[in-house]
Amino acid sequence: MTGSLPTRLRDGELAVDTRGLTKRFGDQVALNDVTLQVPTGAVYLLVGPNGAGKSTTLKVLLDLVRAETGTAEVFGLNTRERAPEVRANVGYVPERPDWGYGWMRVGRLLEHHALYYPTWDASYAARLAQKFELRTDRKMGVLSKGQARRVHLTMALAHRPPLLLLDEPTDGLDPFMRDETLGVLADHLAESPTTVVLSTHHVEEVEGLADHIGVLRNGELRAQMSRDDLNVNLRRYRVEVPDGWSGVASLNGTVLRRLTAPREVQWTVWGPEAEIVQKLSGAGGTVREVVPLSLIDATLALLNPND
Amino acid sequence: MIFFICVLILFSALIIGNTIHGVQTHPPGHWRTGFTYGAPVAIPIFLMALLIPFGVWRAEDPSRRAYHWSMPVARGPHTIAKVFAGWVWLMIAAAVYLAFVIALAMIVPKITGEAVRLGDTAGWEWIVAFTAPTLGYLLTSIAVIGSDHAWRWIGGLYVGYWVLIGCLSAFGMQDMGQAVRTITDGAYGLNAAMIGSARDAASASSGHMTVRALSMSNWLIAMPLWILGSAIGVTIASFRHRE
Repeated sequence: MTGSLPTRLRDGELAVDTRGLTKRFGDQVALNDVTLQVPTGAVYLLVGPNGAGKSTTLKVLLDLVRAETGTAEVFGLNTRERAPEVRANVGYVPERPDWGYGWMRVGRLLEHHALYYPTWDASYAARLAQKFELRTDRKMGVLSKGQARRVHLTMALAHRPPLLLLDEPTDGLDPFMRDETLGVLADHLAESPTTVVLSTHHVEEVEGLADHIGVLRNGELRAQMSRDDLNVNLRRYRVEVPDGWSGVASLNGTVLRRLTAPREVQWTVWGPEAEIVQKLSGAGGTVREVVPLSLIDATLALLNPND
Repeated sequence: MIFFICVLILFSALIIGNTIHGVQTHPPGHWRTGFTYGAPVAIPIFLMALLIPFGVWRAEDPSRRAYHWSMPVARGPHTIAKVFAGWVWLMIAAAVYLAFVIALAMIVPKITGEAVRLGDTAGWEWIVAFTAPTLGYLLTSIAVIGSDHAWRWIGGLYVGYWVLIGCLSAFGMQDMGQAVRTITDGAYGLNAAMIGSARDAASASSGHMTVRALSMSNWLIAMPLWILGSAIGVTIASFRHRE
């Protein structure tokens, strides 16, 4: 049960603001009434299982996919009506590795890409190419997935866009290059004021970067919140309980997970800690431990709610 | 481009080899090819031009919404610019093809002892080497840009056209069949636009279609009409993907 999980952020300036996006591919619902809110300057982690709608959401923002209903705005620009302007403000790393011209050499593709972006920083592009160990004389079509991903990252970052849409940016990279990439991304965020929407399965890698999280499942945005909210409101409670304990009915709607051992129950609960401790104690349980969750544990709890 | 030139070299080698073989195996002065350039020689480059849009839009067709479509520019003009860029390359290929054919038309008569006949080629037929591929390129571009299933459209139209003519003929509606057939073979049909050839309408009515001599006057009207129509089709297809 996740009925009380937040699906709206508090008021503030939004870089990305979608309202009620719905998209179907045939019978399959890719997005169902998705209202994504990404504050300006945030690093927003979009998580969800395969097919949850993460890539489709990013494509809607670039007008690569059009939602049947709903609207999307990037920096206040409607993504359908002012798509070229939106795309000029976005650095995009797609999930697919064959993005770009397979017959073109890497160096030529970077030059070609630069022509489209007046803000292209050639010296920064050269620095990125060096960091990512790009071989500019190789054709795009012969690159491995990881090599192609590094080219895409260079293309996305080098024009210093105010918004980055990164779809599995570290997918296919070896551990060393993954670490290097995250370092480059952190440096980039420190140098350039950027909002990031990041979709990845490697949640543990972005623990130190992400400050907002959105959870998509089956095309529905189940929850979105800031990391501060997450840290404050999502806790694991280890509770010693008497024999034949019947549980706490008043916690319904906030419990994400429950693990039961003899005379002990672990609850992962969304809500104010003091209130929950009071309810658990009032019901006869003895709260032994309350711990905040790591981002990966929180993600798992939010993705697989069961009580 | 390298592949294209290799094919041309191979093609030339075959023609020259066959000519030498013919000269060696026939009595002197009895082997004639009459090989020269004329409008019908543009047909291979026209056929090649039909395939070029698939290369230009490889992995970039509308359904994939790939790199081309994610650029920060208006999609309609951007698409037309890409079609134009592909056309420029096609014209270079047509010029290379024409140069090879001219070279062959000068080399082959030297082997057989014939006179070089390039001077017999009418002025407008030289232009056909560029207009015919342009037409083929634009026609296929409409399907590739406008549809997610270009092969189905092209194949469907081709098969449907001949099936329709066959059915009309089978049901004794020859007149209607001939009327439909003017799309390709009429005075201002596709063949006339391509190389200036049309079927003889008088002989068609007797059931024996014969190719009429190449006609500059037919070509001069049909070619701009077809190219203009195709260009309009490309423009409509390009702006189908507007923002």
